[in-house]
Amino acid sequence: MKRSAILSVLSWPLIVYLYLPVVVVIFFAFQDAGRLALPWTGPSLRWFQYVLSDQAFQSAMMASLKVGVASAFCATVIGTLSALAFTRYRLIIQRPLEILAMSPIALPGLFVGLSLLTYFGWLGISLSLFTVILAHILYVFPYVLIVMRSRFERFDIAIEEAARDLGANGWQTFWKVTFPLSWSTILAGGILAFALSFDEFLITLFVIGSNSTLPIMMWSRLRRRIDPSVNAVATIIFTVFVTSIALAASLFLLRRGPGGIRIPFIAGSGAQREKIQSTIIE
Amino acid sequence: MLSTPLALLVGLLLLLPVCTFFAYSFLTPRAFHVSLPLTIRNYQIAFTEPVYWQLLINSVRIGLSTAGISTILGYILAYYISTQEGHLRTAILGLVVISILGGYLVRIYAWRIILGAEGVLNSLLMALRLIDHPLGFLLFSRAAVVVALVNIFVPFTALTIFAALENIGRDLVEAARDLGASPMRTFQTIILPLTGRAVFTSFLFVFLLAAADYITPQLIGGARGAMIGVVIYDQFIRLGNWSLGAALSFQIVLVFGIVLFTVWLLLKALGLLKAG
Amino acid sequence: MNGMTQIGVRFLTRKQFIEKMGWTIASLGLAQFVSACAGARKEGQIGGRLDFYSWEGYDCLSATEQWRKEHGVDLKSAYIASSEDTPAKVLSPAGKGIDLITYAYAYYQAWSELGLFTEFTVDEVPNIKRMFKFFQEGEYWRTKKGTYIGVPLTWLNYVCNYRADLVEAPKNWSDLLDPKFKGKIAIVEDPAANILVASAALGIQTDTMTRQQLEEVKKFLLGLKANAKTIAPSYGDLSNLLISGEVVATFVGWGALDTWAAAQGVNVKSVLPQDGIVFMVDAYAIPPTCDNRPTALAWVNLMLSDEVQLYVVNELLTATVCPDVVKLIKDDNIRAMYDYEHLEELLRQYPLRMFPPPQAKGDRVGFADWMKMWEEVKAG
Repeated sequence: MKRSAILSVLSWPLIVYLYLPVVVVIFFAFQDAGRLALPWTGPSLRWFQYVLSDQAFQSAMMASLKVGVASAFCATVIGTLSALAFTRYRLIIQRPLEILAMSPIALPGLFVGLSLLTYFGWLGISLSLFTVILAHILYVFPYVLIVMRSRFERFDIAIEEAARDLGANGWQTFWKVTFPLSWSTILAGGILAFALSFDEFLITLFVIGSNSTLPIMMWSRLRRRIDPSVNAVATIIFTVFVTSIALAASLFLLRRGPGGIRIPFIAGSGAQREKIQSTIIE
Repeated sequence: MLSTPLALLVGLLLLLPVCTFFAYSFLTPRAFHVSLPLTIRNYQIAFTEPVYWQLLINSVRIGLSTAGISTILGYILAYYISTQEGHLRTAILGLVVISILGGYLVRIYAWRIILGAEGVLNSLLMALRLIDHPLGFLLFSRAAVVVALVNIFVPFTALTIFAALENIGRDLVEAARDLGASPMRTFQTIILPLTGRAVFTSFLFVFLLAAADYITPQLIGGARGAMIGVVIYDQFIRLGNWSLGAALSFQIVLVFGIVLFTVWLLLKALGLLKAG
Repeated sequence: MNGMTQIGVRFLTRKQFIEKMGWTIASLGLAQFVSACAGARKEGQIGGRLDFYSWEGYDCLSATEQWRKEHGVDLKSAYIASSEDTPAKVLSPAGKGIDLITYAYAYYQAWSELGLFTEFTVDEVPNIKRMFKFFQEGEYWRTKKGTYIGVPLTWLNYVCNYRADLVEAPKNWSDLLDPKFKGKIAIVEDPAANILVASAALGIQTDTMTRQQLEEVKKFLLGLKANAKTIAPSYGDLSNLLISGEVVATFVGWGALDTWAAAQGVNVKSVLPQDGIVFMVDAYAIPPTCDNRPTALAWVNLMLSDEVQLYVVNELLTATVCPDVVKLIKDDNIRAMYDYEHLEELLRQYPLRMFPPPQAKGDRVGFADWMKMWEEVKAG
């Protein structure tokens, strides 16, 4: 179709443009000379070696990992509970709560970061990785919520109701029914949160005090002489990021399918259990 | 109650901090902290000094350009993906999603390598003998800032608009065709209005993030690409005048709000914001 | 009953006694261990925890490692992002325990008034005698009584770095206003330095600057900005710009840029434009919040040793304050970065310029006005 041809002519250069920065950065990470300019004298792993053995890099990496795991864990727990609440109950407070919870996506990092900076200052909490973790929980939470909501919305409530009928309370229902069927999505949400936290920079800059996460370290590197070591760090961040997202995506797609799901054990009559089984393997 | 943790999160880490931040704008600045008495002097300074208005206007310009271009390009990409089928469609979608993964900082400073005097683009153009001196205006300009920011935001606008396009039932489009409407007309009267909200949401999102950016101007903005975000950053990090920084922040909230409201009215007037 | 019987009555069985003694010894040992961990030490002894609050690098970590190990000194460094951080923190409740700070000479009056300094004598820091005479006698460090409030660690000039293979060395800062430099210079984001140098070039006294004079400086800076490609966020970034050839000269610059460029095979040199020779001297000081004075004094003394001064010269790429160290500098390029031969002369000819007080007084502008003017220059 002619229309499709025009769109295609416009779109593919656009896609190339989208990849240009990342490709250039990775390309020059393997540069041998110290200059970030052509000619390319590579491939060489020297900058990776330099970076990986640099103590500043190692401690920044540890910090990023710590912050990532901690904030991802908290955001996922709160996100799962909230998504359950939103899809199972109808409370008036939900809508405003949800809008507020999602707002960090659209708020400029400058604004969120500075609000937190003044807040911590007022409370007398000194800036450290702890404050960074708090900031990151706020920042990654909307994304986790989106993921968990989409999963719980598609979740057939009948199973949970059946479990309730069989006498399970809310907590048991969650652990024995809901969780086993959605653990992959919960994990996916957690990994997504980790990846986002790993790369976060705009808010972190204000609440980190004198520590460094990897992006912060990159920023201070950038303000000194730029050499391919920055590219090497960037490539490492990129690799972690992509691997995490790929992992998260495959977990997300690993939803229930016939024959692959273990039926959770719930006390009850055989007939009721059959009802549950048939609902699950639909 | 299940919502309690979220309520705590939102209350303690979002609402209270913003309130504190707002309160700071009415306090008297001391070096890197604030104290009583309350004052409106910070707002007086923010609203009456010409320098801050200059920077605000510059930021709004860059924000509008970035948002406008990102939304249009995103729309093209989204529309293209929606016309594809099966594996190709998934592949292109995947490509767009992965392009987000380069991170933020990296993708800004990469433009130094691409657009610089010794950069990839100039080297290419010189090798092809299209120019004999490197083009100096590519980097360190407002344009460079827009190019870099659009690059970051297009995947987001594309995905947002794509989701909206998908929601438009095929049958609706088919019906229009059956009634004899040309592709252009179908687009104008059906598709565009139904995606209007997604368009506005993308525009809003990109505008806010682009206009308040404080890193891009420092790295590639050059002498003429100064933006208000950098001034606010300076106030907090280098100059220690937190009250003025806070006042400026809320000033930009107000100004950006007005700009976005105007855009919303415009889109509404053009009939582009029908319910989805 | 006499004392001995009383003790005898209280005397426990031998086993219990030994047990008790054992616990006492153990707890004493534990207390020692804990206090060693916590950095406690006897009066006048060197050791324990030392809190440093200043620029990254000024704590000379690698050069002091040995000394710290030998004396059991636990250095805790926190770094500032700007000079204003120091008074802000030291004067706040969070400043308790800060033992070491540094200050640029230009702040000495303001910070004295704020009460940021304590005094010490030459006997407590004998290495003071190793420095160039000017640093030993300057009012920014030595009080009228002959005691010291600060000890210079290092100094530098604000130079103009330029691509020697592309342009000739500018003779004056005002040369950079010439149209031939259009789009070819970079200004660095260091407003204090920029304004000091611009004032020098215009012959304006900085500590008594009037509004009119501030406008003149602003015009000068705007003229430079018209020729500027960009305002670099840091000195390091300046070197990137010079190396890639985006710019051919800088306002202002630093000797270190020459070394960095040379490492990339690019010919960058620095020159001291005649119309504006400005020095910057950074000195150590001991604030009243110090709680480990003997060690702090020993540290300051250590800063003037050969090893640490050579670290400053080779790693921080700023200049040494001790004449004896100059001949110990191995690398010719690094030694050539600063004019040691004529130092005393230049210092006498071009007196150190002071910052104005923080806020304006009458027609005299304050430091805050300098910062505001700089924001206007950036936006204009």
